[in-house]
Amino acid sequence: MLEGALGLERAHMGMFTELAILYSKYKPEKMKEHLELFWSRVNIPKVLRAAEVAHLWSELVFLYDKYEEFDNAILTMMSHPTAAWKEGLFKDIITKVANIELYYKALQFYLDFKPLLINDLLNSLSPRIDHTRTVSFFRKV
Amino acid sequence: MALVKPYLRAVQGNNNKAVNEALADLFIEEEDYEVNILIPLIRFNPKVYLFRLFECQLMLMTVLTRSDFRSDSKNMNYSNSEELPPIYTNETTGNIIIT
Repeated sequence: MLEGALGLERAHMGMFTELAILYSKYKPEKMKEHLELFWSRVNIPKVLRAAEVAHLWSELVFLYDKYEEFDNAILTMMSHPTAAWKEGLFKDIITKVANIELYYKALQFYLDFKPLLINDLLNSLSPRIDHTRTVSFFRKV
Repeated sequence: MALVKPYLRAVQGNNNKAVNEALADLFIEEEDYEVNILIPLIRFNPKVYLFRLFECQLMLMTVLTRSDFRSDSKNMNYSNSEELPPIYTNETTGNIIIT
């Protein structure tokens, strides 16, 4: 019924939100497509919680990005790299985080997870990162 | 540190002391004497960097010398490398002395 009602001219925001929550519980494979199409029409905090409960990490990162919760998006990618990490997205979001400490956590994450890509990450961060601290970080590694 | 050498080269233009020192260390380690990096550092802190360069050259010469001795060890009656003669430097002249 909810799927059928999405096409209505005056479809309520609650319908998009509840359908997303239902997808997270019962049809997780349809969640991503639904969010990509209707992320602007769902109540993002409610769907965020549902995605987290359902362990849909990639969808969670997508929503954090749209909700401009960049710090949480990066933390989620680093906590669940297999499901949620995407190189381009990570490099794009890391430049927008508010907490600068995440730069250095990201460096450690790349060292552990994708060491050969660390120079790409550093190139993205180089306008913002403290070079002295970065050199000191790599000397300790 | 060698892993992030491309990053260090990319930000070299910022003239950051830590970056320049890290690059200089890498160049000395790799025996790739990048004049643009080393000369300003040597001018800034000649004792440290000239000593490091000297130390690096000394190590290289030690290895080469020992390698020569190793190949001639039979003629010189040294059965293994541990018996090779120690290498010293003359404190005043800096010349290498092999006893």
